[in-house]
Amino acid sequence: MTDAPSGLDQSMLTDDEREAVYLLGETLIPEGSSGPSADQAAVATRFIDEFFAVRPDLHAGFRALLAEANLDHPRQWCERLERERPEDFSRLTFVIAGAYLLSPKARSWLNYAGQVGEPQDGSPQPEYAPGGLLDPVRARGPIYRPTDWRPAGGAA
Amino acid sequence: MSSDQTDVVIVGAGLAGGVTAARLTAAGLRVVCLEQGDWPDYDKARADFPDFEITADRYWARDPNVRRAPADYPVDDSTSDISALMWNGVGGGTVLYSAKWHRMTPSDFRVRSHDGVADDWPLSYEDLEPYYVEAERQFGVSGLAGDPAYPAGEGPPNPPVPIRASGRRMAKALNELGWHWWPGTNAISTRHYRMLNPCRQHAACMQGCPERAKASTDITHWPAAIERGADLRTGARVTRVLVRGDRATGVEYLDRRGALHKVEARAVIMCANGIGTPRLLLMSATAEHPDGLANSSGLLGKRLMMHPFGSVAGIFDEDLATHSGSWGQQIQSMHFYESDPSRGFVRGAKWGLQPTGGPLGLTRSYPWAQSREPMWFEHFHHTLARRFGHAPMWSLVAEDLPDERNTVTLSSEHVDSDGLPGAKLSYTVDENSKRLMEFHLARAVESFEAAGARETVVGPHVRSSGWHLMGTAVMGTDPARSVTDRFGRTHDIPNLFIFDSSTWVTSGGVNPAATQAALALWFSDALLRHGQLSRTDMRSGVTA
Repeated sequence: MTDAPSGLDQSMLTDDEREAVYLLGETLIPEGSSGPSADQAAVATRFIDEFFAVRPDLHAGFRALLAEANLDHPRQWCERLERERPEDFSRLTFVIAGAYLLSPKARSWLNYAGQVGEPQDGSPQPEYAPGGLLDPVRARGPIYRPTDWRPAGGAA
Repeated sequence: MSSDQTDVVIVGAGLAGGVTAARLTAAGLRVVCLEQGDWPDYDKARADFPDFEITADRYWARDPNVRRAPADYPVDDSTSDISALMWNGVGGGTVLYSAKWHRMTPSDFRVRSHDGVADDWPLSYEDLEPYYVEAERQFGVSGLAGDPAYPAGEGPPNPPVPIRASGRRMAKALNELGWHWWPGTNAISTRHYRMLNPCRQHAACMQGCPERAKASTDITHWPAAIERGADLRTGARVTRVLVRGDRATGVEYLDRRGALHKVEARAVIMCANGIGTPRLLLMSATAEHPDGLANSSGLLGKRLMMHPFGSVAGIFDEDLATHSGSWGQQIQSMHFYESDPSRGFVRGAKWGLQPTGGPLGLTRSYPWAQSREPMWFEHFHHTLARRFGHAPMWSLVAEDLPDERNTVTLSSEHVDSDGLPGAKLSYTVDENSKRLMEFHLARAVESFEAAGARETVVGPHVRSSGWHLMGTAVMGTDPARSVTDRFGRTHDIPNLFIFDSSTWVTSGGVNPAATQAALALWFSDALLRHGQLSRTDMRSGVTA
């Protein structure tokens, strides 16, 4: 791997690095029976850049991992990294999976629209009304020890 | 060096500082608060954006050693089983907390009497009960009165967050087991309430609530305190508390440009959390107080408690919509909370059922590396799809007994950006906590199995879990065995007060925000009631 020539935007990946992202992405997230691969989700060509646009602090560490990756045997290299350096493997997969899950194709596969939330208004919930799920809890009565509780057999 | 005067100077604008400032300014006192950080920037609350999970642990990072914001000071945790987590800014820990809201139980205040270990508090549940009620109003807490894990009394002002499919499923299972559960109590509003909006269940409570639904003191307390005249100075890093003889005279602080200032005050109130407060009082040592201020007992910085944390996730075949929900907790259980010596340990833990959020989090190692289903390579789509939306989680907060060997001291190796010493932790999870957690994790697994989970995933011990920092300036009645009295007044320096969780005698087994808020009100009312700092006495020239 070569570093980006000085004078170029250091936040961008070189062609060689982008190729490494492609290979590692396809290794970690290959095409599944139901979902797109990293390449089909445009990880190496687009979403890796969107990832680093919001997490530039992770760029240098990620590039260092790319520089040491054995791209002739990416599966074996990833498995060894996971086994021997789990924190580095976690850094690698956070970037690859993070970029993948920015992709509308990937989000569509999961039917994930983001943390869009669900409005609620504090309306009464039937589970908590008489006849609901809380009845047996209420029926059993208090379970706390009152302040004047003493252990059996005498004062502590 | 500039200098000015006030009635009260508060160090730290977090939970205790915010509650205290609001109370004291309402009583007419002049309050200056010095906060080393800044106001939280909610423009960085990204729950409504596709990059939420990517950016969540950057600005909102919980570990100051990772976040390394200008306001953070280094915390050397190399000799600690748990890393300390905190937010150094207006709102303090409430900016990052999950807002799970629990009173301690009556027995939590009587651990020595009930269990023969640790110490009793110099106050009781009954003493704090009216302050719990007031705190729940101030924080817009949501929940349901009548929990049999507590004495009867007034409940939270807002109705509980939605139980959701996951809570319903687990509630039915706990009913089948005959175990206690109750609707989750949270400092998360479920309707328009004072300055709070109803929660929209983004599951983003710990990474910047985008709705102003989660109660944090930067929203719930500081605006009102400032309206009443509180002088909140951000970017103000206190370097030491000033003393003359046995009286505090004020504090010195550095502003962002490094200029030194002094604030003279009738009273100094420390609200800098269980690490920041002992750090500053140790840094304030003088020839007359060579071991730090208010440390004649030798207990300043000792008895650190951090609540060992556990988690168990269940993976279900059906979609339980666990990507969303208040986080917070949908339901809670205290079935195994009270001591049962037959279990081989004392005290207990509280369980809170929470979502597991978006898909990226489900690819992370904690707790998912413990799953029998591999995540990567040809397994990726299968495993992620089976977790996403299908995985509620119990979070377990376990009582942490005090031990004088668990300490906060000044670091001899690390300094903050102003050259002030960082903190050093020495902390070991004790055998009681290990047995307690092992028991509770096993019961939590049973609950998921009873609910029909296809797989349970037990989180291993994780270092990055020190949300709750307690006990390092313990309150008590005996000056030889405590740092403050039961009103937060230090025994050694009568106008130096500690109103934060440093004062805790024991930790309880619940999230501490409710008790800390109630304590800040209890302390503040005592300070006002005892009159030494009333407006009249201020003006009549009480020696400071």
